[in-house]
Amino acid sequence: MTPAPEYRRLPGRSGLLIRHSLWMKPDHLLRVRANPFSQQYRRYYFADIQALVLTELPGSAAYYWYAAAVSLSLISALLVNSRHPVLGVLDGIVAVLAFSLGWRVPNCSCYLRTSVATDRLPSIRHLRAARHAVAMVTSEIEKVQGALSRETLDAYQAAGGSGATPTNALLPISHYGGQLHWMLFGSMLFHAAVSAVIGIMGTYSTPLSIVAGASSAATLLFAVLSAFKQHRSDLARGVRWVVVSTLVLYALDVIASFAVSIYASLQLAASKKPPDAQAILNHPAFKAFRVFDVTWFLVLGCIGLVLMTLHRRSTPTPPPLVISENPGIGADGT
Amino acid sequence: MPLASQTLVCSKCGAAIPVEDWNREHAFCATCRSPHSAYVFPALLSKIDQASTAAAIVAEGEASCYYHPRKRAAVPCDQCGRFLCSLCQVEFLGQNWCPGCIDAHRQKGQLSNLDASRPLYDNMALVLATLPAFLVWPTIFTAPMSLYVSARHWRTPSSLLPRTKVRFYAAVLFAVLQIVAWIWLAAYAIRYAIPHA
Repeated sequence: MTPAPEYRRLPGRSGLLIRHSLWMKPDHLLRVRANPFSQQYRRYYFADIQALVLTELPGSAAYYWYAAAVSLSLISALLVNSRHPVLGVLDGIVAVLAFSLGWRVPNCSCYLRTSVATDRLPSIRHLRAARHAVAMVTSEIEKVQGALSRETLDAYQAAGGSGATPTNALLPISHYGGQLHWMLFGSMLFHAAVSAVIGIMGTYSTPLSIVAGASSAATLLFAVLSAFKQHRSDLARGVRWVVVSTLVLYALDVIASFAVSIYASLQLAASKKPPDAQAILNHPAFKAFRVFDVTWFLVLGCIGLVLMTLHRRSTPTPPPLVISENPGIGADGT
Repeated sequence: MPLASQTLVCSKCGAAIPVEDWNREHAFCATCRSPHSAYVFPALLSKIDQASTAAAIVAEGEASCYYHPRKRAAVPCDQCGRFLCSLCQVEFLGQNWCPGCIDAHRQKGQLSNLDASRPLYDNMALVLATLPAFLVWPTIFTAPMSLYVSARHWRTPSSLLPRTKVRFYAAVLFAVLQIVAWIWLAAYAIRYAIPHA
């Protein structure tokens, strides 16, 4: 009696504590979900698989992690340069961690369809591994089922099979006037103005710093809320990109602010000067950072307001709601 | 009848993928413009055989199904030999099985192909032998537990996937070391510490 063939591993893996992987035997595909103490299996026989759909995802979250990794590496270099090697090495480890997290962000998604279920394959998250895995599975399925020719598909379509026109399953897009976006771009301009005043004054002022901090926090809040609100809305693409750019630049701004503050403090400490707020404000690195800060808030705020104005002009205002004088059904159902 | 309509959707936005884009590389979603590839196989276009749900009524003198006496037998079970109608016939591992045989074999653990989950006793033993060691004192309980789990489940079928017994070996090694360390500590305490006290 010949021993049963062992499972062959397919490329792709996901998860740390709960891990997903795909394995294959000559007649079926095995999806494995494993925790440290057990494994759960799901089998898909090649004769039953109807379709595999692979979709590329933007994977934009990876760029946030890469940006964080680059910034942290910069901070690490500054720390080592300022004769703080231990802190520098620790910071470098965090930078490597950020880079690895960026590397793990999925850039594709794959699902498998049978006649009774449509299941996602969580282990297929990266395009290169996905293409390799899909090619292996496809060849095995075609050994069992045969290949589907283009002519067959055309004949199927001509016979009226599958009403899958691109418009019949569109997700609804809601109308959104963009009130949060107006507030976001307004708060960005306000923050740019307050920061410019602080920079021009050149002296530390507690009330102005509090106002600048509050406007910065408000900007972040409005940006996050706007990003959620604009999802699946009819807002102009340009406006949406400005919000996304604001979030990216805000993250970079926070990291850069942290790095510059540490750098200025360490330099002042090395030169035996007391590192008070005023001294940090007057440091050339901090001045350069403030110019960058004011510039991007100002530029993005202006672009956002201009795009919002153009969007409002291009969007027709709906007619006012006319309330009928006919009495409707009352609360008592009459 | 197929349970779902023959529509494939983009996994990012949920929009339908038109038939023109099936089995075509570098297609784009009409809604979200995400690049996607839909690989379609003949099973999508074939109808599920509906005859299996409506087996013929048995005529006089014909063999009937063991489970449905009014249905005509189609095949015998390759395990027990009972006659099966097309409704009861299950094609599995290249043979015809009846539901009773599948159930019986599964309960006996003889059909690993049907297992939906498997506990990983080797990992449990290894965790029992290693993690408590950071707190030292729990190992007085966990080391024997790890040895017990290793001995009890040494031959229990483990994962369906290729897997060696190296975790069991490591667990036994760590557990034995911890037990030896406790015995040595107890002997030391009895010989030196307690008389001085």
